[in-house]
Amino acid sequence: MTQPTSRPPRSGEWLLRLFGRRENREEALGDLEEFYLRDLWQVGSRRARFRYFRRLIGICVFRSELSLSWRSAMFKNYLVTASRHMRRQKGYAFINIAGLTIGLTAFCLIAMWMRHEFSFDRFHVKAPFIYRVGEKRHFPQQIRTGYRTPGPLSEALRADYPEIARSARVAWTGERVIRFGDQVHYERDILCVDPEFLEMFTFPLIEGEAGAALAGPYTVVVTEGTAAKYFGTDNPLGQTLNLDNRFDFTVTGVVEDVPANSHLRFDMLVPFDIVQKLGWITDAWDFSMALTYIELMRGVDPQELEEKIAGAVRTHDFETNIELFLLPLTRIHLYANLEDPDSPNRVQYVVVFFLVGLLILGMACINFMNLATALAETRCKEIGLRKVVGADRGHIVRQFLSESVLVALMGLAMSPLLIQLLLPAVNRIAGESFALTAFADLRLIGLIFAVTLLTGILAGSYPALFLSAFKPSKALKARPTAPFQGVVLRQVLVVIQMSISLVLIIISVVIFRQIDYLRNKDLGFDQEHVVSIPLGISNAENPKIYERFKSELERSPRILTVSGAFTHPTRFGTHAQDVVYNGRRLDEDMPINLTSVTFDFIETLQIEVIEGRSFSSEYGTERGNLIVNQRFEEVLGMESAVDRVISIGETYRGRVVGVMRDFHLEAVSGELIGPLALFLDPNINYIFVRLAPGDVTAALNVMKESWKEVAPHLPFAYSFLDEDFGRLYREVENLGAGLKYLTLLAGFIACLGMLGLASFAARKHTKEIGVRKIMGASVSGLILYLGGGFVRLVLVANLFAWPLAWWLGHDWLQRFPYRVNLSLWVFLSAGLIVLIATLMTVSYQILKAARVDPVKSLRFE
Amino acid sequence: MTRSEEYVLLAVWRLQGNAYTLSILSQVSEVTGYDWQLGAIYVPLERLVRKRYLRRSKSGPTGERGGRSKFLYELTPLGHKALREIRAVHDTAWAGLPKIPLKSEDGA
Repeated sequence: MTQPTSRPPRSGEWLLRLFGRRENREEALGDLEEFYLRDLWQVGSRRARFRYFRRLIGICVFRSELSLSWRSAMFKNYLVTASRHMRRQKGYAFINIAGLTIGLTAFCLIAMWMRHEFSFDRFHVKAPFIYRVGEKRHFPQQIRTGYRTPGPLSEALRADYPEIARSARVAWTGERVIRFGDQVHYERDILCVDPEFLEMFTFPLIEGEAGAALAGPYTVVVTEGTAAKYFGTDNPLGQTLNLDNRFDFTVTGVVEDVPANSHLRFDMLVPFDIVQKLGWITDAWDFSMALTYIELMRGVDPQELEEKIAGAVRTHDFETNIELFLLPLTRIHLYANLEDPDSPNRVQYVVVFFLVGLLILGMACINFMNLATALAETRCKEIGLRKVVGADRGHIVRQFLSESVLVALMGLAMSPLLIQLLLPAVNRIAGESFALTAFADLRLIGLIFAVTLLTGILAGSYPALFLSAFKPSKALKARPTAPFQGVVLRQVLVVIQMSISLVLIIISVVIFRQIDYLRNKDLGFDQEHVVSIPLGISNAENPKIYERFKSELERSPRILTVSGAFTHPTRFGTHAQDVVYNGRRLDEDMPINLTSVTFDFIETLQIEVIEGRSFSSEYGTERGNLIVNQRFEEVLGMESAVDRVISIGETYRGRVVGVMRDFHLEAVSGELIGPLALFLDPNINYIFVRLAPGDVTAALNVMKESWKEVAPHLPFAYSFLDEDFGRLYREVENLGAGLKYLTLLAGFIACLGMLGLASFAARKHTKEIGVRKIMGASVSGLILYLGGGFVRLVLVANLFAWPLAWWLGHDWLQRFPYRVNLSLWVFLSAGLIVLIATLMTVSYQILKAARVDPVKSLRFE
Repeated sequence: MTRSEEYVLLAVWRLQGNAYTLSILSQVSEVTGYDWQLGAIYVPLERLVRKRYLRRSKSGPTGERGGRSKFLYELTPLGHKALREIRAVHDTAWAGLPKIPLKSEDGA
């Protein structure tokens, strides 16, 4: 017999500690052990263990059975009393249940959304071992974080470090024209990936083989949805898709549609070499262009590996300023902003919403506490009687806790209805498609029930302690008065509620003002009445199509000007480049945007030219001429940049012919306006058309007709420039919209609570009102007298809410280089809103009480 | 006093100095003819101790219990008195009655 089995399982002791009684734990353990040892000899260790646990459970159950039968009888009585109480005080019960329903609904929705956010990329079987390599570029003045890394990195890492099992690069092709037979579509989500991509990530193939699907050149793996779109019910394997009228791809695999909780989204996968064929440099160590994912060998410590590979680029490129770091796959969605690595992470929004959800739930708890303590008098006799027949304080506490948990559960029972009602709004804000089935998750349900129980216990905790302290001798008197009125505490709680509402209102207003500001800010050009039309990226035929389209359109009176650009203005990014001027290199690497446009760009966007002139065909092709913005001029440090010759990067050298007013590149929410230089080049990817004021539909029809003539093989896809810019603020707008709804819910809960308290106050003062009326008080005077208390509370709440809201709002606004001021009227109007809401909820009750015939109110008992 | 308390008290008396839960358990099971749960012994034991019919004492650690102490029970004078009373009540109640024919005997 081996040593460890000769002792009974350790967990037994633990179980007994949990469920058994303290008095004879030692004895029971001894008995169990003796039995166990006896069994060990007779029936072997396995069955001995089994019997050990059977006996142990016997002990626990037998003991609790006795007390449980008692408890369950009492519990039943508690529920009966609670439901009687609720039936007698229907209004207050409604306020409690409604408040908790709203609070729990808000929490459920937020929890559901959070679960979705935290589930990102966890469906990959190898998720714990997959990391994305990011880079930190060290510049003299700053460090810039990026998630794209040089093309050769993936291969080099795998070759140099045996800890890495697999590696794969991912790059986007950008918008492309895909043709199958006579179907032509623009496809935006085409990923260029290394063959190992499908083996690393869990995107299950329905057709084809993971190892082989992307091995050959010009192969493509499509998603189920894409396959259905192009091939209908035909077998997709072996079909040929054409990209940009240049390459033919053979379908070698079909994967399931990408789940909503994947940070990598795609409709098609093509081999990574395509990137090179589309004109990108994939073998340079100083050009970061691809996402690099690595899969670690099992048992490798990622931190150690991160330290090892931090300087990996240096072994291949001596002059590099790149330091590498690792980011776990499951953290990418919440902790890494691909477009703007320095901007706040998504996880902050998740945390904010979670906290707001808890606050709202807390407000519902406050309602329960306030009403329970306010109505304490109605329970005096009951508590007194219970105590007389032998209930101790613990019993009363248990009674009220089970009552509040019951109310919380009733609130929870109502919330599916409300959730169903609110889901469309939530889906619109979150950009997801949640259904009630999103709750079919044991952990989520567990969390919701746990929070409901906690809510019930929290809501009931204070009333339970407060009510259980009643002395039976006093409670049973003919006209019992609660020993402690709890007025001050109720006022404090109401002030807390109001403060939360106020802060939420102020923050919401600030967010909406900021959005409004961003949308309406003068961008430095006129974004309205401009249509943007994408061409296939870097198509050789783009210049030809553009020229013919332009000459077609310029004949129409509905079109003012036509122009083109290499990048869309919403995506005018900046890249750090050397600027050499007068043979002297500027001291620091400046992020400069160098973009090619065609004639009339400045006129189409109506950018103001301050010095010099705009591009014009009068001056020939203008090759080698530049137009820069004011910021660029500032960087050069000259009084006037006109006629200066500057070189940008290694390739571009030109003479400045004009200076234009600064206009916003990218979103206004992004960075400050950076230096920009425009030059003329016929290779463009976007066409911009300024419409004449008037009939937009007619103008669009003109364009559609012309498009059919000049590019019948390309789809006519267009958008309005102001909408393109508006789309950039979606995230902020969603934040604002989400907060708006939560603010409304919070406000509603606060109003419910005040309604309850006001009706309680009105009832309590019935006699006093009667006396006052007889003595000659007017109705308006009474309203002032009774409502004044609530007004005072609002004022106090403002006192607490304003500094907090100012601090939060100020902090949030800091992330915008262009922002609104926190003006006083925002605070004042929020205070006013709360005041009006308070008066409206309160005054009806008071008015009702004040207008009652004093004869009646004096009889009131 | 409940039936189970009665059995346990009797068992402790019968075991005379070697009464601890397991011996009581087997004694009671033997007398009644069916297996008792451990928990069903603890409860009456505890009640009897609380009523001061039994005294509980701790022996030194024993090997057969994995180094744990044994808890021994013995009757207090009050317990003796209670036992005598029960006996007396039983005897008087049953005195002079003819034997109750049991089913098995009846059928035999």
